[in-house]
Amino acid sequence: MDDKKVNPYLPLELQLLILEAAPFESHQTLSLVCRTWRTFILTSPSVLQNRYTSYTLPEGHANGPRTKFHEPLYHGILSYLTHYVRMDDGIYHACYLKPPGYLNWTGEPVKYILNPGLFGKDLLSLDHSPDGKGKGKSRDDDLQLSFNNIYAHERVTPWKQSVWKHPFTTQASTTPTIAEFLKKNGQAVNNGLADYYTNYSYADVLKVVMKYTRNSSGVCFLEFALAPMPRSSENVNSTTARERLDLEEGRGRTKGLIRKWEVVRKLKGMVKRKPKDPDGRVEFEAPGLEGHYEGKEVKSFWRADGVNAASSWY
Amino acid sequence: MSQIILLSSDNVEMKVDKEVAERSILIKNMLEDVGETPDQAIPIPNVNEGVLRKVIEWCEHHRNDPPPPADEDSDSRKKSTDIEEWDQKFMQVDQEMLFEIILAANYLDIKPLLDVGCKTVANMIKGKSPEEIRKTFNIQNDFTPEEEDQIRRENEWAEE
Repeated sequence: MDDKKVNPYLPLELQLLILEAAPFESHQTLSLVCRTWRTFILTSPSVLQNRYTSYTLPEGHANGPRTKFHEPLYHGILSYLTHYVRMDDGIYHACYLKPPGYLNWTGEPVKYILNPGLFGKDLLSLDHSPDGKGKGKSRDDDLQLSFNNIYAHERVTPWKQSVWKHPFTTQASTTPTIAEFLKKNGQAVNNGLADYYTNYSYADVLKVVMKYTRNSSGVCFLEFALAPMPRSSENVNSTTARERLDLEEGRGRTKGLIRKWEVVRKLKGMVKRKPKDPDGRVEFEAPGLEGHYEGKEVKSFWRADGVNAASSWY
Repeated sequence: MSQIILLSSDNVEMKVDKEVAERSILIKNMLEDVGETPDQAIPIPNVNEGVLRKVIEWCEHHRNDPPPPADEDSDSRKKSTDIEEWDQKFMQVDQEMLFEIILAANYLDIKPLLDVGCKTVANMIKGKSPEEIRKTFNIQNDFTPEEEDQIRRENEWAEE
């Protein structure tokens, strides 16, 4: 006789409560269990909400009393997103995920290439208004960008390629995740991007935060991924200007991803890249930003000479 | 302090402080309906002695906890990492007992205990394969070959 214990059967109602409590990192696996679970993981608002998180920026607004900012929720995957990977073909591809607690047979953390998979249609950020109302919803004027959108213009190469051998990936192992980056630079974000934070989605803020942090770490490449989609009326009229911007930002592949182009364009016009210093560092200056920007006073902006000193403000 | 007697499904009587027993909304409502502290044991037909003792232990420890927030969407109820240390130790039982506690918490309508149980299971299945999870929950794989194929494609770059 088989004396193996059989667990008590949990009714579906309780199974679904467990799914609601599951961390988003498990969602992909849980969606593979059965059709009912899959449907629930894909469609339940409470499960979907678990995929989002928010970062509360530190107190201490340099330009005045602390403003009650919106706290948009954004996708948990961004907590693991480190960078794009340049494959042998020279093109930057998907990003790594490093979920905690997943170790391979050698005891090393398992690294993932971001696969939109189950999360493909998830928006990168949702609004989280200060009073908690409207939490988990996207605003009409908010960024409507999903992971699938990111990949719409990306050629993603299967994991099978030996990306680990690429020097870029070695260096990237020290790249902070977006979450780490934001925590480290939260104060700076709070000081200088209050207007952005109040008026734009968090992804916009991310975009700006990442804007001039470009270096070989690859963090900068997230920027275009988070850039909004273009509206036809906001397309850049000048081919020269676009080419210049593409050149400056190395974002020729991002055509079609910028909706609030005006914002980007104005910033681009104001920020200039300085020649490399003797140490090979790249600096930027933004003389035009100590003034008014889109009708709002902007007192500070920053320069960046690499990820490790990405927020030296002035 | 007044006490009541609970009768488990295997006919074991247990004396419990009324305040502790009232962590169960089912018992609380029952006592309110009766109007006074009953002399006779209250039958709990779906819960055996071992599980009922565990549930009472939990209720004893949490007897002074504030009532759970009415807001069903409250973050505190959702985050799986938010399990108190005492609750984590309390839930270090075998899987059968864990499921029994969840069933009992659901039957007795003790939401905070149900939440802790669900969060514990959610954490427990983290890192398990779909097949292992099916075994844990006695679930049949009902995906069609076409669906499995689609899912496989969806996940083909997911991990190393």
